[in-house]
Amino acid sequence: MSPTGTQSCSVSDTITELTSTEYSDGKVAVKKGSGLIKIRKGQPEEDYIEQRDQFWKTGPVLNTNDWLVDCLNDQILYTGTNAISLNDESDDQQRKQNGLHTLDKIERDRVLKGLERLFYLRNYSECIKNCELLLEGLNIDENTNLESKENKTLKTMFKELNVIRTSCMNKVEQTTD
Amino acid sequence: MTSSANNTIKPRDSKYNPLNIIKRCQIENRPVLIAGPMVRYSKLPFRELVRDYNADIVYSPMILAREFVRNRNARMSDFSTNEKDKCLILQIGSNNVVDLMRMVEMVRPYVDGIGLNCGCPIKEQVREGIGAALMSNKELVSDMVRAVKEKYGDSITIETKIRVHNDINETIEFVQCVEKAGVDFITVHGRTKTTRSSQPCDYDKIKIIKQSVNVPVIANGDCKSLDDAYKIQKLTGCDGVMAVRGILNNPAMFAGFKVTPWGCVEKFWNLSTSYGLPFRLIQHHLSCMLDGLINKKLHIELNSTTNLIELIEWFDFNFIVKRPGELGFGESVAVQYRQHRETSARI
Repeated sequence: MSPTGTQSCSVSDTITELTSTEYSDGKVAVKKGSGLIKIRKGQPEEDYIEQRDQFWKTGPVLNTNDWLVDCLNDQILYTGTNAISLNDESDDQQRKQNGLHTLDKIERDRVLKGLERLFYLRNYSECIKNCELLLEGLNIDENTNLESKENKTLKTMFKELNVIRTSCMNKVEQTTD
Repeated sequence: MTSSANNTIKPRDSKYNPLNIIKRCQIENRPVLIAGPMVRYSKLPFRELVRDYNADIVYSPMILAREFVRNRNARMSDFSTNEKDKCLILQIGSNNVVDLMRMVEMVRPYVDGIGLNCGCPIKEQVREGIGAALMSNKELVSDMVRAVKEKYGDSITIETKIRVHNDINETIEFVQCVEKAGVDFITVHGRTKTTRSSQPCDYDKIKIIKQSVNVPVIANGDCKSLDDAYKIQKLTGCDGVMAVRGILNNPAMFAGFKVTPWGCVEKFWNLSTSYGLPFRLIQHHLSCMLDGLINKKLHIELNSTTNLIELIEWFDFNFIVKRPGELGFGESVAVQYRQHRETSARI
């Protein structure tokens, strides 16, 4: 067998004998749509151990009934004027204090889903309060150019928070009419 | 190795071992009712929903081993679970032994079984040697199954989900080879990798496969109701029946509902907003569940919403959607339309 797998790949086979266990890092050769053979890199054992240990340390994402609202509340603790004092100025806490737009996409989504959960539960006043705190945490002022490329996430968060907040306010108005 | 999995959830209860469930259903003289894997759609909220309507075994969507073992973000977005998520078979897409073994090692504490996908016909996956591509590589599939069973023995259940070949003798050879390697049970879709879903499922071929092996066999294809499940079991002699498209349209099918009961829609709303699902997935699930139950105009409106808040508002405007804690939550059967005075007025 060729180490590149080029000799052993037949038309009907999409992968070659490189998949056999003699290769201990998961390196494989796959056939692209064009017919070319492409080698998919393996994963060194030490990289795998690091990934595995990280996963085992935290376990998979556990979704309890309240986990999204908990994520939201956690973010609120570190946002805007509501921010608690930070004894441990870790990167993670600092990012949170800097506002929703500075979090990574997965974290941002969780916070927004927490707001959507409150909206679904018709907990509009709580949702409005949280939206306002998060909007404040975006630190947008008259000098902020939301159209600039570097403010793309900021603009999206600003828009999404406003949509939720406005919808909640409309609901509250309808109830009080 | 000194590391071990964090005990964030309790050890798996053998009651939820898929093989024990299959045995229990044999004693009860009924098919095992299985909600199959659907790319994107078999996420935690949907899994919990179908269990609420009598699914015995539920699959995760196919998760690519290559990404899972290398990328934390892939793990975070592909796999979430909780205490209630059992019996869970995590379906894996892999084209080599090493990635598969690594993924099995990582996820074993959190699942009741592993499924190796040998049936997915999606072109992009087949090109990578994943899914249905494995149907032409029985040696590799056997190597993968053997490696898992040699390392973990009975402590993990491994299943392979396959499609039939044009020549059934090839499929017989395939399943016998994989059985010899130690697979615990096999799911057979009665179509080839190129058969369109508009073509009927070939239950005769599934029956032949059932008769060719000693391990339990699950029949898959065109199961859209509880009645279908019993009929398919009778036709094929299989131990259980897997529903995929059918259960996407009617998650309550295994409880005997002919169409999605309204209570199921209410429960789905609660679960999907509680655990979190992307808006487009929620919209698609609801669109499937209500297909044929609401008129075309409403269906188009549902599919035209552009964010979750709009979708919630649209539902609340047109229907009575009870929330958890409200009297009768999750219990209605017929669609609960909201009466609007302006449209119901006779002037």
